[in-house]
Amino acid sequence: MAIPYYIFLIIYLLAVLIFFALSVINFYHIIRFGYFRFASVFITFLYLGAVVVIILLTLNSLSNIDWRTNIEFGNYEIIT
Amino acid sequence: MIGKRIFLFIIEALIPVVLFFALRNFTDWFSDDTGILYIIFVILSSVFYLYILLFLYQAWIDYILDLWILTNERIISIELHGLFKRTVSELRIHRIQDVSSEVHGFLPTIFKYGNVSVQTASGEDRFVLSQVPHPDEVARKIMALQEKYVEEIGLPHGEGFEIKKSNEKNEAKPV
Repeated sequence: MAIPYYIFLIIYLLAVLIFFALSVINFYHIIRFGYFRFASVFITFLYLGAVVVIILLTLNSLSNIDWRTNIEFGNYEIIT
Repeated sequence: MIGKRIFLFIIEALIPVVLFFALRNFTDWFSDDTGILYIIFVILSSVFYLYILLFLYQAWIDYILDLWILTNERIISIELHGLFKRTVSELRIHRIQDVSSEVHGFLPTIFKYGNVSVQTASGEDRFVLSQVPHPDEVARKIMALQEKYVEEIGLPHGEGFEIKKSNEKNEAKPV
């Protein structure tokens, strides 16, 4: 049995998608109830900046990976 | 509350960094930057940082969108709980029996925030304004407004609830 590396990338993308969905709900709250004053805009841009930095650092760290490599399971030799 | 969360955020944010350097220097798990352990570690760390940031942002929104309006007739509390719950509650000022402020803990003492509890004569649950800045000042203002209101309608202090009980329309009127 073999599991390709890109499965982990798909799981990561799903986690990022959920993260963005929750972020959108937070942006909705700020726009709907938060008067959109300077502090709201400043903190929101700070938040978005930090998110971009984290994602770019992650992509940079994973740039050398060959995602088509497989992890092999079950290829054990029986020791007699 | 927000100060405490920022402090916890900083502590939590250091965990993957410390773990990474420990595993890199004391084990051979990360000797290869294309191995599966390295990939799992980077992905988990990234998700960890993203969600810590999300919870911090959520805590800030929770704080910034909590609102208390104090008028000469009532206290209105608008509070956001989590992502999908918003509570608006209202207390008529003539029902106030007792107001107390509480600053509890190291960070609240440093940053001067705490809870203000407003007790009514009806024996219901206390009306709590949580994590407000300068709680003693807020408590004094509420009591001053309550006393002014009671003086205006000409009743002894602390008997505000009687007005509501004796009045059929549930409105405070000058006696």
